[in-house]
Amino acid sequence: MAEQVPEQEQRRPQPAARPAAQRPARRGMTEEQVQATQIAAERKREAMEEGKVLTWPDLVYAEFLSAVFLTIVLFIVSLVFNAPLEEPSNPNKTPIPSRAPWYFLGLQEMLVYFDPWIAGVLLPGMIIVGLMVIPYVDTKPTVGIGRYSWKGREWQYIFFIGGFALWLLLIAIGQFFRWGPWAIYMPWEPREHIKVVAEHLWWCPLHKDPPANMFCPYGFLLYALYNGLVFTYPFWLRFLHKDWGERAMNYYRQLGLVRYLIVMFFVSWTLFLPIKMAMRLGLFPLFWGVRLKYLVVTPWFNI
Amino acid sequence: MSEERQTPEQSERSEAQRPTARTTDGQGEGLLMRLINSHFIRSIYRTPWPVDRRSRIMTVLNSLVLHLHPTRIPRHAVKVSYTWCMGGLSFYLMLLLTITGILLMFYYRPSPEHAYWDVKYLMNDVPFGRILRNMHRWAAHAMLITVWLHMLRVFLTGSYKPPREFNWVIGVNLLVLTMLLSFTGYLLPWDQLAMWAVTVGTNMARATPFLGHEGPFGPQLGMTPYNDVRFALLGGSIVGENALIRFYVWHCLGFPFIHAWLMAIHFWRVRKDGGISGPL
Repeated sequence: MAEQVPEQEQRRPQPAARPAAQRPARRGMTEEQVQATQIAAERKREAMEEGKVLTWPDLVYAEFLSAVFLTIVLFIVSLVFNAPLEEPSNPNKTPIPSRAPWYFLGLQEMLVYFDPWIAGVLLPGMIIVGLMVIPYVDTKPTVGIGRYSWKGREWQYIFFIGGFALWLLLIAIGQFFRWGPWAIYMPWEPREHIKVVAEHLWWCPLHKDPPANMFCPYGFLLYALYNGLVFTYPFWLRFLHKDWGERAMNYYRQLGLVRYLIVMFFVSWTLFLPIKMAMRLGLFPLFWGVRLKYLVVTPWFNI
Repeated sequence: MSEERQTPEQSERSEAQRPTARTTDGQGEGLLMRLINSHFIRSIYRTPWPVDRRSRIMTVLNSLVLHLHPTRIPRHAVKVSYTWCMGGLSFYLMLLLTITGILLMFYYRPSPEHAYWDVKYLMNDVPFGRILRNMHRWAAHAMLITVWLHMLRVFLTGSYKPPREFNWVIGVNLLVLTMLLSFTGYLLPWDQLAMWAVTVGTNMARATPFLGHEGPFGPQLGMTPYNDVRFALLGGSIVGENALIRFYVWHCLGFPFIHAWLMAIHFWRVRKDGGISGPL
């Protein structure tokens, strides 16, 4: 035992031997993520050397002025527009349409395209978790820190801005194009006329009415095919375009299997939302003019 | 903030102009400067009116509110084209909402008999009640917009990248809390708009998998309208008296506490993770 002691001492890492900049910042980070942390620290040191302005007055005045400006705008808006207050609540009288506040219209609009357990529970949960996951599945942690850089982050920009725009689109549809029993009304259509949409709906791609055995193999296969294509895109993209396929393959290798599956889970659902919207509105090329209620029909749940 | 300590030459200079009550004498002759240099005003602030580099730094360092900021910041960080001001304005709107919210609480009783008529009273009889309620409402809408745009800005500038990952996670939680605060506040006027919007919203909870009585596998687990997750949210099977008091307490106490706590961590992490993000 006594002989082993010096050996252990030798193996013990020497804190002074490694410069602070090369020490990994946190465990479980990739080389690149560690590098990004180091760049950020370096940047902080550099910024301290040059190019700094005083918080008072440069920042404090800007904050003060923007706060004053916002207060004035809010005052004017509050003087001109009254916050809505309708008649007292009455549980026996359902207003038509009953519209959620605008910031929740995205959710209410999704209820048209999916069953409530997906639109009201699963999708909101996935949006929240999906947003939180972003920094941990970023394959370019060193690109575009602290500046607007389309270059190098093209797909990140497209996906995030696309998702943001989709959310705003849902809100806009819910606010301006929905009336009565939550039917599509163009701005020029008379709102007194109450539309009934449900009777034109197909239950699933093969059945106008609910199938007796509650199963639609055609839709199920299409959905499986869609997910299969999304999840395996690095493996088939090379047959269409060699460079893109190579890039996709690199992306998969960078992420590793687990993180790749997490990303593709969110990607497939994000892309599925506009697809399902088009199907429900009869605008999807494969089922043009057919308003589909469900794509996947099973005895337990429908998608 | 040890890096903010003065350099040797600065400390030499400050030795000569050590801040005293008389430091700013002669800076201005007007009534305002005499007031600022009066004994009483000087006793409020720990630093004299900032006139030079040192006193400007000390002003930020010695103020409870201002010391959320570093004393000096990168030049790009004060540009509106970079920050869009959205984070700061979200914080400011939260303060505005707290103040108007507290004032509204003086006039509002969360019970089905009173709630609607208290809001009517605010709108028609209480002095400045109408503008108070309007400001609370529109500031809430504005805050949702500023929070969303803040998130967009932070994404576009890559400000969530290491070492700021966890602050992004906290930020997403703050976004969710902002929406929950808006949603719980929406019920309180107790009019048709409020009741049915919340009915639509909480009806979704019926369909929660496993926990809702209309969700997949819910009935199999013994969920009924009287014991599922919607019942827990509303304190009943309909949007009624219990739902009103629950939403009121969440809106005025529960969520603001969580919100304030997360905000404190959010701001603290901004400083600890190296201040505002900047170009490489």
